[in-house]
Amino acid sequence: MDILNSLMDGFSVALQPYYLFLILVGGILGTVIGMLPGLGPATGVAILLPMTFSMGPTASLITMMGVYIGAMFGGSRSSILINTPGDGAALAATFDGYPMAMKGRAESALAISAIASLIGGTIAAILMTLMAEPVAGLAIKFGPAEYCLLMVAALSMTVSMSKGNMLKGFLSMCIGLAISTVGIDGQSGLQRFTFGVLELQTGIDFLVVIIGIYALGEVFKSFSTLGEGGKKAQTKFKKIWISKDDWKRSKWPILRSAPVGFIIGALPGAGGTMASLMCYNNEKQLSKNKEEFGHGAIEGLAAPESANNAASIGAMIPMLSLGVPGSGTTAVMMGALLMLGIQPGPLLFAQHPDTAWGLIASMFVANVILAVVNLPLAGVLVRLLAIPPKILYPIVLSLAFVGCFAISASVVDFYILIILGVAGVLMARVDIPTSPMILAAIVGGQMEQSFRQGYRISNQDLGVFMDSGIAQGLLAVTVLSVLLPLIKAIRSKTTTKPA
Amino acid sequence: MSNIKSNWDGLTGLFSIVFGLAYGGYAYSLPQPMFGNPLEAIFLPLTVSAIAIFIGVLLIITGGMAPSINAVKALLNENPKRKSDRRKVAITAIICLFYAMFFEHAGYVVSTSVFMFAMLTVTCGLVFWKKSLLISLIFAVSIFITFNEMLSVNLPPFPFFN
Repeated sequence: MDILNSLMDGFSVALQPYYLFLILVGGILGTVIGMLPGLGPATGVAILLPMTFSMGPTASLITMMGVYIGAMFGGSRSSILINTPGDGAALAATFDGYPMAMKGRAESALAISAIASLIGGTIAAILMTLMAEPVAGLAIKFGPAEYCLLMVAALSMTVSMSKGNMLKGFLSMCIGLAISTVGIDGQSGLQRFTFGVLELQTGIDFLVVIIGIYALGEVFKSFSTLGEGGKKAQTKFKKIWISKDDWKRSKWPILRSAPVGFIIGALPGAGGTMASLMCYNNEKQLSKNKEEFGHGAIEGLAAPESANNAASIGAMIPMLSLGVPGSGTTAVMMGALLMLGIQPGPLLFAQHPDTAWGLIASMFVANVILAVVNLPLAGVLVRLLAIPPKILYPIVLSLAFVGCFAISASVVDFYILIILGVAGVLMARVDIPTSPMILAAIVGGQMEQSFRQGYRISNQDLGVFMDSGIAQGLLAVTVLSVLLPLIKAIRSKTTTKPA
Repeated sequence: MSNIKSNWDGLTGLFSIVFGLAYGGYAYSLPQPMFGNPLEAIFLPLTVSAIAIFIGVLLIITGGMAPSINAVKALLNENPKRKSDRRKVAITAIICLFYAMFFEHAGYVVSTSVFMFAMLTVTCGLVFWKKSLLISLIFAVSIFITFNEMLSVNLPPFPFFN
């Protein structure tokens, strides 16, 4: 009952005309950015971040939520129409979405994509409502030792998601942790790795890391496709809607995929890409029409679309309840909250209930608004796909720099941005995943401080990191997340060895 | 023709070891803090350094150096288009560096117009220079007005008439 009352309070915030307007504007901008090839929600939220600087915390978060959900809606437009996903989470939408468009069913593909996103997002928002406060309640029992272990567990889970590259995932994590140690040490006052540069004393802002890797890195990587001219998107449509038969085939895949996507999204580092690919494969296994998958099966589009929107909301759970971002986008949102003087985590619901519940209510509202925008206006919005990347990429680069300057008002961050952009290209070239680095850069400082606090409180006894049940559980998660992929890899090697 | 597959594991391992040694060495040479446990401030850096060295050794053992050498050879013998892409990335990075150097001195509008024009020349070529110039100017001025006037983010003003 308390949850329902709190949610109603949240709706009384989110349904105010000002916030509805912000969700609408943020949602449309997010949809536009999400549908542009190579620019995902993290880049979208990062480059639109300065837009929220003059707002209060609630308005800022609600706008970013609109951008985030809009980008998730928009990501699949380019997948369906030009076979180029806006971001990783929209990759699975190319498998059956593009074949549907090729068969003259672009209207049904665009419609089921928006409907599946709406239903998936709404189911995830309901799960979020039920789970956010209990998880936050559990997190209140966390001491410094448990917090440190929580971040270690989040890092190890992210590293273990580095498919076939776990060692490189660890290296990526080490680089991220090294970035987090730059600046004046909060507890001893020691200057670490500042090389005499005054501006580095405050450390490297993780938003700069994110913008460098996502915005600059992605643009640099996209140079290889610049000369190809790109595919022309269909921009004229009949009525964007689905038939009864389409709905019959899609409803169960949508309903099944939403909770799976939500759970995967809540795991640090897993994200929408994994959720959508997993749900696509699940549906393929369950379907009676397996042979249609990859050739325009509507359930092959409905399932991943539902899953990736649900995952985007699931990723908010660790950020809001534990203060640990579950994805790149939530990391940017967390950074924005910290800049506004609000610490996400278990106390958020007690200290800023209007912000926390307003945000949760805005998830419901944003899903409805975005579905309404995306169905009738799809034909108008996809015209933006006609902007040539040759013009788009310089604009993105420029927005990345201005976004970076708005964060720190320091040109030194420009150099860091450039170094990270080039690093992003090199890391992609040698198959080093970037997500462990980004997460480590975000949580590294907090993890170190928690470790040292726990160590001091216990009179320098390391046993504090194994005493409580929560600590033991987190240690088990850490060990299992590293060991399980290793065991799996060794097993697959031994079974594939020729006799 | 060599049968060894090419990958970057060996060289990545080598980088990891060098990174670990340099980072750990620098951390160890940091001055001791005025108060508290002297090791506390360098505990994480030293741990990170140890992990990086360990990972580097494992990468070299599991991947070997021969596939990395093959990968480097393949990189050097890439087709002209890939080489041209790499050149574009390098040129873009240099343009970005110049942008960073002149950003505060030349002001936002001037530096961004020049930066955008240079970038559009890299991506579109010089054929459409008039169009590029127009896009650069409109973009720089509109962003300056949006940020300075609407978002209250102060961007560096014009150099001569503030």
